[in-house]
Amino acid sequence: MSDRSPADGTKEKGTTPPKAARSFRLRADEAIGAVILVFVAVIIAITTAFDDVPTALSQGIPPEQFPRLISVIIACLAVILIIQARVREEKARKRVPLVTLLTTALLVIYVVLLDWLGTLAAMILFCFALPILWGERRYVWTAVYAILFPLGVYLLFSGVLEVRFPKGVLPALFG
Amino acid sequence: MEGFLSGLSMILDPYMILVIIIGTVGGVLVGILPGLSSTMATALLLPFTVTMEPAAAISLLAALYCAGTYGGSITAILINAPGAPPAAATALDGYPMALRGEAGRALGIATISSCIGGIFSVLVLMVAAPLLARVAYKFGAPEYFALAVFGLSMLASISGQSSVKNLIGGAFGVLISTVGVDFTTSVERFTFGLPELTDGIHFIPVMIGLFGGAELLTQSATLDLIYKRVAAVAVRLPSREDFRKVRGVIARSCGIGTFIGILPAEGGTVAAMIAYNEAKRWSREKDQFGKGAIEGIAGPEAANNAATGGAMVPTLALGIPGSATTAVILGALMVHGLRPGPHLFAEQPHMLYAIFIAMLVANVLFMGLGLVGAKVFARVTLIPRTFLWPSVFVLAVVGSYALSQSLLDVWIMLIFGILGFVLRRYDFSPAPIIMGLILGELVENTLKQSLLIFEHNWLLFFERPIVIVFFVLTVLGLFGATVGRAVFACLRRNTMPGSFEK
Repeated sequence: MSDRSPADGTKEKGTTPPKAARSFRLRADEAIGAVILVFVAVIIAITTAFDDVPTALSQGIPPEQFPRLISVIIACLAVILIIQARVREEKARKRVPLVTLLTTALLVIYVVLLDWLGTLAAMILFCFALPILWGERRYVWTAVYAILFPLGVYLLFSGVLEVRFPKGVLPALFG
Repeated sequence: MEGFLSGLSMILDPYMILVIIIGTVGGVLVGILPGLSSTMATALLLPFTVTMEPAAAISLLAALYCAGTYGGSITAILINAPGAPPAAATALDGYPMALRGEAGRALGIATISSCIGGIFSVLVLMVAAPLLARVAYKFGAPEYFALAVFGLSMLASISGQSSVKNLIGGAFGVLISTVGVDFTTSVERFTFGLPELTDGIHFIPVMIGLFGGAELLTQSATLDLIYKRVAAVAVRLPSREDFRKVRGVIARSCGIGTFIGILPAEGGTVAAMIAYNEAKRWSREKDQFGKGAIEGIAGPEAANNAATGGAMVPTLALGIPGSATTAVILGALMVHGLRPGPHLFAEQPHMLYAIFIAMLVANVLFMGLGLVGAKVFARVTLIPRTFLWPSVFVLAVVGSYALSQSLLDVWIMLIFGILGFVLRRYDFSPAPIIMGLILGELVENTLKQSLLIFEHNWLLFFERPIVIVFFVLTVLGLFGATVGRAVFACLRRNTMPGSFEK
């Protein structure tokens, strides 16, 4: 198998990486393909645990059949992806910057706080924290923005569109 | 004609006019802002429109779609960063023109070409959609199944890095659509004991997450990017000579854009790229392309706006999205309890004509706004990203919560936002997942119905001519590009010097 892939790869000029790199380093698409195959295996395993169909409704396709069909299609595509990864040049990717990881953490904290502090307080904190994290140093402007924008959105949705937002656990405890 | 007139009377309502104006102005603004596309804006706006009348809601989103596609060109020309993906090709010649001090001329060409492309495609939409819907009257479950599979197969050739990854994305979307209670057997699938999941994963939080949340994280990785701005100048209407030079390109691009738009899944980005290449191929001054050729602006701009009307054709007539944004619009129709297809044309022609007319008005309106106010609109790019993106995410959270007032939807939005960022990093685009999610239910239900009709004999699919046509198109969609490239490479090899064939 590994003898065949260089022959395919050399057809396109400049696309074949050094042999050593190819045989030892796992390429991104190979890793993705492998993750997808594991994912598919998990999905198929879950489908085996679906409830039994009541006999009155068992005329058509069983409920697990269609997800399994799609899973198999995904698995086949993942295998093609892995094969393609062997013959294609790998794209260099920059590392994910720290600020992106921190932003992701902040998004998660924001959604957790929605339930704890209530919508408006969480929005205000988020609208203050994210600009600061992203390097904004006009603190007064940030504070003004962090109060006015969430307030506007909150009033629009709760007043005009009649959405009932989570009030939060903590305000309820102290209120 | 009767439908047209009743649609017109709906549009002449001051409320509807206001809705179209808001959609158009909003569309131009989100189009201009890099990172904010009409797809994301329609997804973010969708929860707001739930309480509106269906005609007003869809008109708003459609106007935003048309204007957003145009708005991208302003940033493409002035800061060399397409405000929206369909304008990527416009930057190739628009920015060099702006650097030469001809920003006003470039913006004028872009505005007029976009408007002509948009209006042409809406006229085609008005004629083609009812005709296509009439054909679709004959469709049964097997035909719809084949059509939906064809729609998904077209994902192989939408813009993106890899056909296989697009198809994986589409299939993953279909898989997500199976979450919840199975329609025919009432068995719960992938609900993990969460009662909120028995109705399935709603596509709105998924869309908002994949387009909004993922884009925010992408933006956080490019905070050090500084755009070089070319000072905006007053937009100039194209001179008679310029117009004569580009009218052929515009005419061809209108055709290309509308056709590509009508193809399921293929939207303005692909249309603009093809139109740019075609404009270059037909030009007598090919060497000027990339250095500031006006045809290089007219071609993609006419085509990407022509794709808007085109993409609405299969969306409204068949319920198969013609592009990523129309997938969101299709979602909006479904949220309003409307299932696009022949029945919609029979039952609500006035509403559909109102949408068509709203799109026509939006095209004329953005032309006016572009010619008069592009300079002013361009100033929105001065909004600091540090304030813009938190606002987007706040709206994303509120929007995904508002629909069913469930925090689980917010978590779904967040999970898909993070997943979308990771997937995008590895060259998976979000649009195929949305297409799969939207079409998944149709694929599964029509497959089940077909097999019941056929008594589980799969071969009977091939006794229906329309099904065979769609299956052939599916095979072409999947392998056409690969085979085409192979044939092209083979022909090129054979015509190389030294080859013994002619």
